[in-house]
Amino acid sequence: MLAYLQAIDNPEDRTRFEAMYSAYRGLMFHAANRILQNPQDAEDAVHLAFLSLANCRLPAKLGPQARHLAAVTAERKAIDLYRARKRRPEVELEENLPGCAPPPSDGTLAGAMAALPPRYREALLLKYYNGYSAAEIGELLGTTAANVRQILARAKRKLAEELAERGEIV
Amino acid sequence: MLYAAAPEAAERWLDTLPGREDCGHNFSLTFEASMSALLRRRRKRRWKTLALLAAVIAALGALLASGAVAERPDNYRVYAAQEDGLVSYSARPKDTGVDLPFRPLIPGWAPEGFVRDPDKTKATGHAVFSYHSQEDPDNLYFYIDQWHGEEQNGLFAGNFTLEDVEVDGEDAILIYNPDTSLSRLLWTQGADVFLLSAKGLEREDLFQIAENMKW
Repeated sequence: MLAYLQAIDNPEDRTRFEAMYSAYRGLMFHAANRILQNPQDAEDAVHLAFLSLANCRLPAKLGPQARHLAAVTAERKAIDLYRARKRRPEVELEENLPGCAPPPSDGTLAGAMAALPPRYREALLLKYYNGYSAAEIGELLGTTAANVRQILARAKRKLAEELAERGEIV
Repeated sequence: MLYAAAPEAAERWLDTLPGREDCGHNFSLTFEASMSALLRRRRKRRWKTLALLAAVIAALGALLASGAVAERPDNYRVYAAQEDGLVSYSARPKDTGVDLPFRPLIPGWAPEGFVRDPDKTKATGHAVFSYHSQEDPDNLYFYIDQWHGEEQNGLFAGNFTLEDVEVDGEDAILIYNPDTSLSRLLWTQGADVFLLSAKGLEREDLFQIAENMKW
């Protein structure tokens, strides 16, 4: 609670937060709605995403990194809501979630990263694209830093397997 | 290598989402109200934050000291709780054992000068009817959500008071924000859950609307 109340008072952060809200709420809605297929649930997911973003170090300016952060956070909240509503918490990697069809992989490292299961892709890109620490990723994804480190290790292992299958050197 | 590939990977994934021009969506009043409360909270000055922090700590301390922190009962129909400036609510309709078709109810009474907006929601099992004052549509309005057969959960941010009340003899919760005069009345009726959301309406008006829903 203390961290949340302190976070809301930084004017620079406030401007970034408001800019992200204006620029990306529509995108976040679509990222959530393609999973939940329900506008009201998608709005709940967007709201939850903004509550997470309120506690997060935001990019200095709008751009691809901010867009990615907004969309990923909304996607994660939507997946969590979907799992809670379907009462299927055992689906660990959400490989069969509606609306989560990955972009086709072309055998490149970037393609393989984009085609990873959501939880692996989210953690990996938040670290290597957005530059967040394990603790910060944990805050955004709703898990612990230790779990994020474990997810990252598994994601890299899966990435190596995928590329090895295609004969790529990792 | 991962750092070098990450921008292209992020771009590929983002390309699966619609572009900005195709991302239009008319957010509901509930969402707008919740977000405006969150944005407003972020605008407060440091002294206000510290004052709020002190007030919250004092209030929590008083609550804990009095043992007044309620736990969610097993057999609730409606439930709401407030923590850290967030109100979470839940409503469970009765399991009637009969698969009745969804029949939306409309308000049979509205305050003088209020007119009904065109219907927007077409989703199965969910209806919304909204009304606004012709004199002051931005500050005097209400809308009613009705869901059929399913538990409803939600949350919103803001400084609300919670009160256990009744609507037509059924358990209900009145949630009110004195700062914004936003209020919400949550109740169930048979297999349906109702949420009346209003701005600027008197308490009596809320109950008058809720208790005069008709086919």
